This record gives sequence, structure tokens and C-alpha cells, in this order.
Amino acid sequence: MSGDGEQARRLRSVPSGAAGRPDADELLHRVARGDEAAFAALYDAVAGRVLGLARRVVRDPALAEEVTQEVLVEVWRTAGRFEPRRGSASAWILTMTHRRAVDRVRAEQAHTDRMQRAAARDSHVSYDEVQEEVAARLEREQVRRCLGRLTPVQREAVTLAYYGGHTYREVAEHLATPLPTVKTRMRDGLIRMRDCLGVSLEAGA
Amino acid sequence: MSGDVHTLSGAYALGAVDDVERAAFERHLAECEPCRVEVAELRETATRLADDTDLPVPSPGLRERTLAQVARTPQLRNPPTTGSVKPERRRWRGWAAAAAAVVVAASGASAVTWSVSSDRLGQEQAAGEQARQVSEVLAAADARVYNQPLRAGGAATVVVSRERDQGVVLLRDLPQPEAGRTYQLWLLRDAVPRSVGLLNTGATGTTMVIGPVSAAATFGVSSEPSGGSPAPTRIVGTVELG
Repeated sequence: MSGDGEQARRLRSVPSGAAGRPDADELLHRVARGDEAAFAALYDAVAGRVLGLARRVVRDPALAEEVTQEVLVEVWRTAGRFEPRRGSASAWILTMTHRRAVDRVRAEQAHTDRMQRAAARDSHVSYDEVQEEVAARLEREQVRRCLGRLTPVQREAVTLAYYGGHTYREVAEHLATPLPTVKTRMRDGLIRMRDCLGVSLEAGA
Repeated sequence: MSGDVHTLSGAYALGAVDDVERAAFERHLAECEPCRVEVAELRETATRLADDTDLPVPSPGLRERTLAQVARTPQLRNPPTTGSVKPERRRWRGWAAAAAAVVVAASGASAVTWSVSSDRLGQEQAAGEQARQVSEVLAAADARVYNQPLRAGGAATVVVSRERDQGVVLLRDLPQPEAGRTYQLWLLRDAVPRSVGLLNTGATGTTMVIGPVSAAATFGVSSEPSGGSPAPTRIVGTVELG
């Protein structure tokens, strides 16, 4: 079953977007045992995505850096509580990032203000290295392609919630749509995304 | 899974619930195995939305501050747990994330037609000639992506636009070449190889624009003496383009 082991290793993690780095799951496992070098490597593997997501949600570069630092310190602090069977390390870290970023915007900003800004997006892309950019671009294009397959109302609900940091109640209010409808749009939208992206979690031996 | 609570799974995975609802939903999850699987998948899916953000380069100061804070921050011990905490082996079926990064929605060697909206790409500024060519190949209406692990280790992704007669190759995590050897890239048609590139000495990965691809049916990587060979002598992996 050596081929199977290789397959599992290869398929397991959310892509880190960088060549030659150990995957985030493996690094997080070492971080949980207090390995600071592994933390530094984990930082290098995920900081760009954490910062990118934080910026997209909080819309303020300085605040996004603060969120990034807080989240990564929290990753260090709570690494031992990460449960691999509940998802990948990257998903764990990015979920934490999203939560923290959303807490910041919910605390600081008025709704309408955010609704407007969530609609716009940065167009500037800084190229680090072509190689990383290509990989990241392919991932982005796939996400966009799959987002494009949602119905317009599903897409609206999903993006207002995720990028805008709104609760489904706020989204329902903003769209003047009943709560159950909005909940359903979010769930159906994510299910359609899941199937388009081919995400599947199989727990088993 | 009771209907009403369950419909919250999407909002929960998107982080679009308040603290009270989150706590209630997590209590529900603790009792509902099918819900946990669904939520885990939806959460992974929501996480992928983070891929559609620009990737800023974090400032060196941020790295220093974070590492310094970590050095003086004690870690939480594991909470007492009930039952087994043995990490289960998990498989991501159909999530073809090569060790490197590239995700193509299919299993194994695969091809997907990418429909890339040109206006989006137009918003993004490519720096440098190679980046521009890469963008053009990826943006081509007929661009197809082939993604495959290599026999010797590592993975190759080849994006081919027959219309543009060009391709983009991404190689990642190849084994370190032996001393005096380097990797060479080939396109094969009717078993006739044509060299399309040579990696730098010691390199274990690259991104390269190749062409003309014309009717090439196979992309190959071989290990050759430094300077390359007229024909491949030791193939380490191939990707079928068709």
C-alpha cells in the first residue's frame, strides 16, 4: 500500500501555494509539541493567505496585519487542540482568521458602509514569484469558476457572508429576504461549490 | 439531523452566525455525525474562498513581531479528552492538490477546460515577460490543465493552449538531482522527443513557458548530464496531453 500512502500525503492538505515546503498539517503537528522552527515554517507557508483573507474582510492593511499576528500567535498557543479529523490545518487556520477578522469588522464598522465595500475588490496583484503566482492563480480561477456556477442569489449570499463578514440575519435584512431562504441559499450555494471544487472528506482507516 | 438546525450548516461554515447560534450549533454537531461530515466539507469549501484573494507579501516586520511574540507565549496543554484522540487518516477524494499547489477538480491525471474571464485577468498586472506569457496561456479560451505526480517524486502541471501553440509547465518537489545531472523537459510526438527546456543545476522545480506545443501528445521530464542531452536518457516522469 505504499502507493496509497503517497496518494494520501499528496491529496491531504489544502494547497499551500509554495514549492518544496512541508504541508501545513505536518507542521502544525510539530508546532503542537512546541517546535518553534516548525512554527516559523508554518508562518512562511500560510501567512500570505492569512493576510490576504484578513485584508479582504477588514479592508485595512494595518488592521489586517494585526489580525494576522493575533491569529498566528493563537495558532501557536492552541495548536494542541487542533483535531485533524475535523478538517485540514489550513482550513482550521483560515477559519480562525475569518472569525477574527469578522469580529473586528463587526465591532468597528457600520453595516451599510461594509455592504458597499464588500462589493468592490482590490485589483492590484503584487507578483512575488511567477511560480507561486501561477499556482495561486490556478486556485483562484478554479474558485471563481465554481463561484460562477452558483445562482446569482446564492453567490450574493455566500460572498456577503464570507467576504463581507455579515451574519445571515444581516444578509437577510439587507436583501429583504426571509431568514430561512437566506440560510438555504448559503447552504445550497456551499454544497454546489463543494461539488464543483471536488472537496470530499472521508473519515476512515 | 433535525431539519431546522441543520439548515444552519451553510451559514455556520461561512462564519455568518452570531456567538449564541454558533454555540447552539456546535452542541448540535456534537450529537450528529453526518452533520459533522457535512460541516467539515462545507468549511473546507468556505476556506477555498480565501484563495480568491490577492496574496500580499507579509512585511518582514510582521514575521519578526509574530515570532517574537510566540517565543514568549506559553502553549495551552491539550484539554482532557474523552475517547480516542488518535488522528484518523483522512483522504481527500477528488481534491487533486499536488504536493505543490495546483488544484484541478478531478482525480488522477486530469484535464479541465478553464474558462477564464478575460476582464478579470485584465485587472491584474503581470510583471515581466514570463508572467505575461503565463497569463496569456492560462487565459486562453482553450487552455487545458493536466496535473500528475511524477514517478520519481514531485508533481507536474502542464497547461496547454493549442490555439496559442504554447504551454506552461509547473514542476514541483522533484528529487534533488544527482551531482553533475540536471532535469530536462521534453515534448513527444509519435515517440519523437523534442527538448523544450533545461532546469538550472540543482533545481527541483520550475515554472516555464514551453512551445511550440503543436501536436505533442506527451510531456516528459528526464534526468540528464549537466548541459542536457539531444534525446532523453533517463525519463523520470511523463504527462499525457490529450
